Amino acid sequence: MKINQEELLRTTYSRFRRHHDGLREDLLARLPDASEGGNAIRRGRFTPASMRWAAGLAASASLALVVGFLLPRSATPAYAFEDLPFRLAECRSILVEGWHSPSDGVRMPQRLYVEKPNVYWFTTSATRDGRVGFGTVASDGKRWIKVDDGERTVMTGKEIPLAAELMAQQLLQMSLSGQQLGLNQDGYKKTGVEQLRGLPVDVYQLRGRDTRRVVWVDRAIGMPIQIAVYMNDKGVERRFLSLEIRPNVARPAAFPSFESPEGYATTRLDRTPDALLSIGSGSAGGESLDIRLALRIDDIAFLVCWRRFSRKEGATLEPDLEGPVGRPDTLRITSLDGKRPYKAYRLKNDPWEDGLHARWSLVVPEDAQTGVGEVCASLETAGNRMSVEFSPLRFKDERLAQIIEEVQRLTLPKAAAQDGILTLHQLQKLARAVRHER
Amino acid sequence: MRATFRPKTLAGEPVIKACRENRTELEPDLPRATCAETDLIRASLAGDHAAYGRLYDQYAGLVRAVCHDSTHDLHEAQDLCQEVFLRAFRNLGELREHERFSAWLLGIARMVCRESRRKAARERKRRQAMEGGSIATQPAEPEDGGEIALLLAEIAKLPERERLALHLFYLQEQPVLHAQRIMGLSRSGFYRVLDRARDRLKRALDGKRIT
Repeated sequence: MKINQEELLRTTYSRFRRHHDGLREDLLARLPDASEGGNAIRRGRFTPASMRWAAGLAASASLALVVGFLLPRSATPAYAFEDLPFRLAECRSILVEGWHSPSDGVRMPQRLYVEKPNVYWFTTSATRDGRVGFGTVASDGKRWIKVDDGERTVMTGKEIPLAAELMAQQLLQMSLSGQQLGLNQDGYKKTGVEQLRGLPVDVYQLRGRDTRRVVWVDRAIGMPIQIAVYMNDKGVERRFLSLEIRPNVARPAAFPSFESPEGYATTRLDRTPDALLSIGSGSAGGESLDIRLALRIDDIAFLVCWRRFSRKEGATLEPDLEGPVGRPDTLRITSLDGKRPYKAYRLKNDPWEDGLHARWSLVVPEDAQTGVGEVCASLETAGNRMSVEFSPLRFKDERLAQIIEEVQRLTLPKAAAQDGILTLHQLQKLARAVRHER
Repeated sequence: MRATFRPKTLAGEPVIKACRENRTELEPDLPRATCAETDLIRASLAGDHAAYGRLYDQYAGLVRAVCHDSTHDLHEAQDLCQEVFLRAFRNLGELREHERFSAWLLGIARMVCRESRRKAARERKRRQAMEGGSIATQPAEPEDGGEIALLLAEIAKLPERERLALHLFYLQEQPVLHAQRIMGLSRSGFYRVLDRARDRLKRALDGKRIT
């Protein structure tokens, strides 16, 4: 039996050598000569191909909202972390359980569960007046609930399925690894091979000034299944965070029922479109910058919805609102290390229900490289700087096209004409046109 | 440790020969392929097409297999493989660690496959939009007998590492060396992954026509 399979494998693989000589001849005839200038071998720090390779690795670890990086070319890529956020996003479900220890002897349980397309559940913890209060936030795409066990309060109501889907993707693509697991960071080194839960795992370590991160990667599936973070506390190393990750598990039995616990004050609150679009905000000098949503376009640009406003003495001001379509926006965007600048081009301003405008911009890297990583968006006003760090979400084209149109409808008044809605196809063409002009 | 070596630029063979001659006793465990490969890369950088042809001989099968994982079509995989090698040649100057050529090349292959998938999706969408609805795509005609098609379908379902282990084993002369470089696996680790892949294939094919 084995022989038959073996023979068949060898026969099957021989097809990949078919026509090899002819293809070889064809390739060699197409190779540029050294004298062909731009078409010849490129030498230099970055080129599209090499940058895409680096960007792919960077994208693989682009989960962080707060901490980010652009992978230096000198770093040896850790296979297990390659394209990880998007491999995580491809899982049917992810369960992360464990604890973190803000001080010696204190352990706060952590749990995060995400199920495609729009189910999520995570624990929260907060310290008030020296007491630790726990809570949970969950959605099943139809209902959402936020329970504060410390205050014994509940907020719950109808969910907007798209809001839950965007949140689930934010948890996977931005928060999960970036904020908690630290897999977005550069410099992991493989330190050994072990058995964990009966599985052969590779062990990776990353040493920081005061921290040491250890990641156990299941060799069969190339996914991290355990993370530990150690902190140097006055010369003594102690475990600060310990998490287990289980991909493709069934929904936990303890998943919330969306009923208020007895004795909890309950507020009914249906999800509003305003809550749907929210990534982060910053403020300075009385002005605010809201980043509402960012979506990758073909990994060469991203669409961002944002607002800039100030409220003074009852009046609301929105600086720099006017201007022609295609004008570079005042929003300054760079990679997190500030080395890679992007340019934001104004697309349109939609009048939102609350009287403010949703500004839509297309953001394209100023260099010719592909790959969109984590970015920092900032504005300066009267010498003050406000900024928001985020990573544009990535979806498959079919779903992305639907989301782009759906979210734009949310920022238009109900009575407004719908013909101002930009399609994915238009945005792809625009992004290519901008790149081509450079 | 190794004598200074200047590749000849007109043919691949002198490069390989000189490389072998320049090996010393201080590097007895350095595989010949490694020595030849790094020098083939240097020769290619100097514009030696024949040297690059040698690299193509070594890796084209593997690259086609990786592209086939994405396209499930041999002709398309062959086309993408050509594109991969063209891009690699143009960007060879960017490769700092010549020992990592295979991993770097597969990175380009994955990127080219991603781009191809996106392009195909856009093209489908454009055609649908132009024709005002869904269009029937012509199913590709199988190029091989049913057994091979069935086996390829099962290989495509394997986890990426196991698939890659199979590709390396059946297409590379030194699979363990490449498994070290590309997958970070030791010899025993590589064979464990390979055995797992074979077992998984066997289970999948048991009960079907192939046993």
